[in-house]
Amino acid sequence: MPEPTPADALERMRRQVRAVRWRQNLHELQRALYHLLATLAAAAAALVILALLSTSGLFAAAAWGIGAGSVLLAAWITRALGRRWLSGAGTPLWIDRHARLEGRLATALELGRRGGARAPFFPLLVEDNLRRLAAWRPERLVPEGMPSGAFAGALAAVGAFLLALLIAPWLQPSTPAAVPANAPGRIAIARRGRPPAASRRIVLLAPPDEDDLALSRLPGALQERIRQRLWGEDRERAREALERAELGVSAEREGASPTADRLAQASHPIDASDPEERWAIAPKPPSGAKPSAGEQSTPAAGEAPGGDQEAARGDGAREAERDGGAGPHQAAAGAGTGTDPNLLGEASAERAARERFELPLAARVHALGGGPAPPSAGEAPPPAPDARPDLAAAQRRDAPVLKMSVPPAYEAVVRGAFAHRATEAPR
Amino acid sequence: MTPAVAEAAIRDFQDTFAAVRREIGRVVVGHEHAIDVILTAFFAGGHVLIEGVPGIGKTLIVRSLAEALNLTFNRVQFTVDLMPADITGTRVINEGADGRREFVFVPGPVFAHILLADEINRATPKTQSALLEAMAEQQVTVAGTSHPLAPPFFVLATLNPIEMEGTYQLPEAQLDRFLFKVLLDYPSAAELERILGETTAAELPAVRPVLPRETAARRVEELKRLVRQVLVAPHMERHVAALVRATVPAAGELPEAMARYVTYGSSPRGGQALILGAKVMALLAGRPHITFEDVERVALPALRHRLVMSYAAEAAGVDAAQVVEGVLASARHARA
Repeated sequence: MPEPTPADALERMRRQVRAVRWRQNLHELQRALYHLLATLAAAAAALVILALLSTSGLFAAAAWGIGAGSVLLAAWITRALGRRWLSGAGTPLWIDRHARLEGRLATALELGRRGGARAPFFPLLVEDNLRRLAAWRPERLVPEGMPSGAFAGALAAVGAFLLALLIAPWLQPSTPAAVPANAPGRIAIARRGRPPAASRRIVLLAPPDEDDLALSRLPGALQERIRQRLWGEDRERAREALERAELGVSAEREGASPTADRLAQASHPIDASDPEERWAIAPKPPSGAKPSAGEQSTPAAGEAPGGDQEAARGDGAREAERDGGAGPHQAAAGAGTGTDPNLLGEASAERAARERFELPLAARVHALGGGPAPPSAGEAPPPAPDARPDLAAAQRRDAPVLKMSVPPAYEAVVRGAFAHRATEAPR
Repeated sequence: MTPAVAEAAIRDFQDTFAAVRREIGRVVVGHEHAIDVILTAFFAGGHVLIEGVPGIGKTLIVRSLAEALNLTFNRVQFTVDLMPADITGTRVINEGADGRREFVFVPGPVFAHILLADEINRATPKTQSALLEAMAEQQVTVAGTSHPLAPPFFVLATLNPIEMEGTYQLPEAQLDRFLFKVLLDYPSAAELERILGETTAAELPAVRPVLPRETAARRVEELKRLVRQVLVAPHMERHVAALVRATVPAAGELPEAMARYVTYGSSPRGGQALILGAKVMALLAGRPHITFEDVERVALPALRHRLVMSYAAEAAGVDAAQVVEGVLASARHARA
């Protein structure tokens, strides 16, 4: 067999270099894809678990964190792929390093391209390379099959994601059941396996703040969508139960003001992601009703004071319609459909004696999506049908529960600040 | 050159180098690395500056090298009153048999294959520059006439790091003419015991010539030509250029922590020294081409004396060797 010429030998080397390059790049591409898959699957698994278990605030923070982390990781993987990706010029050097050729291959190919074949030592270098061709065959230099570590990582992450989907139904909280309680105007909430809390009443909840940014609403929407997808019909049933309960207390909330709702929400923030927490609690017994043992104690955390004043703003509209306009203790015209005309109470006639008067302040309650839609700027919405007329019959007068002591010197200022204005826009 | 011939030439180089190395080792105790660097510079066609305290074998190394290669050797002890003509030679009036008088050039000690310029920093700059012209151009000019020096011409200059009074430090431009700078350390305890035993015995070890006198110079030149034929790939040229540029603060490639310690970086001669030294290293490794490792092996002696360090470096105790090591480490990291 004739000896190959240096040109033939160089061509053989170039072919083998191309094969090594193709194989190595494919290997690296596989590895990067597995890493990306592992990243995405792990992020998705974490998001699913957090969406089902965590509160909306925690989920929002975690979602942004996971999103940012995933993007960074993906960028790092892409950058690593770029660094490991073999270019045409860099492949001989890479082969030299990995096959311990001590620069023979790169030198021969570079000098061969540059016309260095006339150098006295060049034939020796080419022959030396030919002798070592077997040392850097593609199948010897680049491992066969897939990158096992990256593949295992991707497999584990995908498995975790599937597991999260599988266990999702078990993570759903029990649907609260709303049942009439003993006392008039009460609805008890029961969860699976627990006795109903008979002393608790339900009020509708204020919608989320309207000034929320789109970015801050995104995680909430994502969480809602995940829950919707994974919990499906069960979740719908829970929602319907909530709506039924809301309808049942609509009559009871006649005369309450949205301001009271909002104040209650501000003073007692409630975890709105928990379906049970979608029910705001008012411990104040109705006047004339005998309080139960549980109600005589101090209001528990999450319970809003001034429950008789708490109501949905839609009820305020109905009240305004019933009263036929502004009176001495009624809201002025245009004060808003949910305005409590007697929010500040009667002016104190005992100022000189007590030197203080009491300003009623109600707390605000908060939940997601439980309350009626806010009234539009035009006509007030039609009143909701009275689903529980027996509760409506037991409606009692509003009475301020908490009153803040204000020195007489500030009375005019405070009253001015809290007074209803005819020009106040409906909220 | 066929592969077989090339392989034989490389083996011949390795054998000659090893034989000279072995003969020098018979009389010089220790200093193995320094001897390797000196021999590398010799076959690369450069000159060497040795820095070391007196009495540690500088002269012995050079004389042994000359004896092993069977080349002519001269030694000049540089002093403050040494004149250029004392090195290069001078014209004297010579009266012939017929009574005619004419100027005749009498070659100085520079006319030898190997010249030891002992304590070169004790001579005046004028005398130093006379030697440096010979080193750079392989010729001396006397009275307008150039006299070429017979190849091979190898200068080994020494610097005494102590007794600095009354010395004339070599300017950077002259330091740059030396291919390598070697630091000779004080011998270790074991080496010192061997030195004492061997140099005070009845029979002193002698160096046997490796090459026959008649062909020695020609053979050395052949070996030096072989060194020049070693292949250098473009990527190695880029690497060496990057190393040299990395020592130059103005180029902006020196790490910021190091940049304040260096006033001036290496000249392009530093790059030439790196490649020539690497070529010798490649042949010694039996390769017809240089590698990154070859360059790294000669980087310290090739670049160390070419960096001008700042006062900040002196205050911080940072020397040029540390900067070169840092540059090499950066290059290694970039390659990985």
